[in-house]
Amino acid sequence: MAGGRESGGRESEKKGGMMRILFSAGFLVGVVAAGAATAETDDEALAFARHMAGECASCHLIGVPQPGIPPIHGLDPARLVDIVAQYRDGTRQHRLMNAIASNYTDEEIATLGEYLADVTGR
Amino acid sequence: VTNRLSISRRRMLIAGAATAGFLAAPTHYLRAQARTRIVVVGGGAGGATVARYLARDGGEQVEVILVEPKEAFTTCFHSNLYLGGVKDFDDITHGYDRLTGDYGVEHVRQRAEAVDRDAREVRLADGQTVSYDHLILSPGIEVLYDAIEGYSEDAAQVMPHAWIAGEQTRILRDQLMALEDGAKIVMIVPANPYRCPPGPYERVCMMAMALQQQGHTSSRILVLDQKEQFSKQALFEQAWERHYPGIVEWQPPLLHGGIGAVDADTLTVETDLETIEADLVNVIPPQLAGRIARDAGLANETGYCPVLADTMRSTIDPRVTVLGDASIAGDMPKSGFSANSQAKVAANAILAELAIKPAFPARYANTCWSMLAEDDGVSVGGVYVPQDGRITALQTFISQPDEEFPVRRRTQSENIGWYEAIIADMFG
Repeated sequence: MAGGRESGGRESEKKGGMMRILFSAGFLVGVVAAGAATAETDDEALAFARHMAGECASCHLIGVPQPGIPPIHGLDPARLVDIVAQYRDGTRQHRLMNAIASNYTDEEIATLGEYLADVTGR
Repeated sequence: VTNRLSISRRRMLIAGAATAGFLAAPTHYLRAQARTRIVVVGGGAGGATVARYLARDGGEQVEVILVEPKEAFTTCFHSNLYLGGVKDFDDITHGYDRLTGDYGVEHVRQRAEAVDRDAREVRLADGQTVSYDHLILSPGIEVLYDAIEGYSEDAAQVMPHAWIAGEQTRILRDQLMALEDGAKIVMIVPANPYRCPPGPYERVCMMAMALQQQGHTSSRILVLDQKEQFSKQALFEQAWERHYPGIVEWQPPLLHGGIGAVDADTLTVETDLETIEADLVNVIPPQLAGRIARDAGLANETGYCPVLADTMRSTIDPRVTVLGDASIAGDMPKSGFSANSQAKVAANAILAELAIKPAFPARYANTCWSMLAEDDGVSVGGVYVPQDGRITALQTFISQPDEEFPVRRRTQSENIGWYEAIIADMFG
């Protein structure tokens, strides 16, 4: 991810997406249950999503088209979650992705899906 | 989060009054002071990646200085594709302008000569010093010229190793293109461990492909290996049979009896059994961790640097992180992908210690693609986690000899696409 795509307004847009993660994925359940998702936990969820996306970025160009490797950005979150879950349970076959996804929890996959859905353009 | 920097942040803080003032102040290890200075030595897959992630996520609290003499970096990965004529030299060479311009990394274009770990300084080739709060060494390998009799830095101008990409890679390509049909190429390959385990055998494929495209029908490549077996062996041997029949001969020590002297004046290679006259000799010597890391006392008896499995931090000095080929990374091979993956774990660990980011569990990955021929690629890789203090393979995978053609074509497309991603991940 180049600096240009991550600077300025897009980060603030992301926070909306990360709030969805807090609710949809049960991430940081205690905070959500208390109905008091603070800026700090929101930042933590965003930091975690960015960290996970960093793992993907070794192979996937995030935010721009790429030959030879499928895009993971800009997809409907539910679709990305489905795909990664299929790699994890082996119904979708790709040696590297099967190995990578075997490590992921449901929460991590949901977090990643929400984060990457919002990344568009370079 | 913007990575654009104020003028004051971009100043060069080497030697001079600024550094003197910095050193005079009481310092505590990686405490969250106004600016923590992180010095990165080496701008390859490990160094460039860690510099980018630290600058991207560290905000105004960290100052990232990248010490790298080159203006632009030529990647070892895909340098074999340049040899094969698949890529241009410019395609595998990348500048640091995004790292400096978009992320605010300070690029000091000097060779780092030495580390004074007590003073926490890096001495540069021009005699100046750069102080650090934390040091990241990603120096890659040092090629051991002395390990092969008759070989030297001078001899490498005639018998290139091309195992540190750049001018050496160009020399090898130029020599390859100048060969007449009927030429004999000899490649000397080291024992483990070394940078890019499948690299020599991919190189054989790419050289053979280039010779075919030049219309050669009787040129030969003799591989004198210093080990009895090698990475992806079944896949490479199948490829040599399938794509380059009669061109490649691979000899383990059992067959050649051992490598003797090489002679750059006569282009000859001695083995225990014979003296071989060649038209091109590619000597890939044994290697160790980059000299700066060894001279700093950060390597153990293996000549590589032991690190903590969850942070890539040196087990010898907690103020130093060692990435990539120079490190002992458990089950991970020495590859650009490994270094890139390790860099992101290391960046998170450092920023977590500075309380800038939460600490996330270390997870590593690697894939080594090899191009065998046009539309034929294979890969080997794995996912790794710290276990009992060692980076341990959780899962590994490798392409299979009986794969259908479309699978191979897809793997090669991935190889090409992957390169674009890792370059963006390294350099922005």
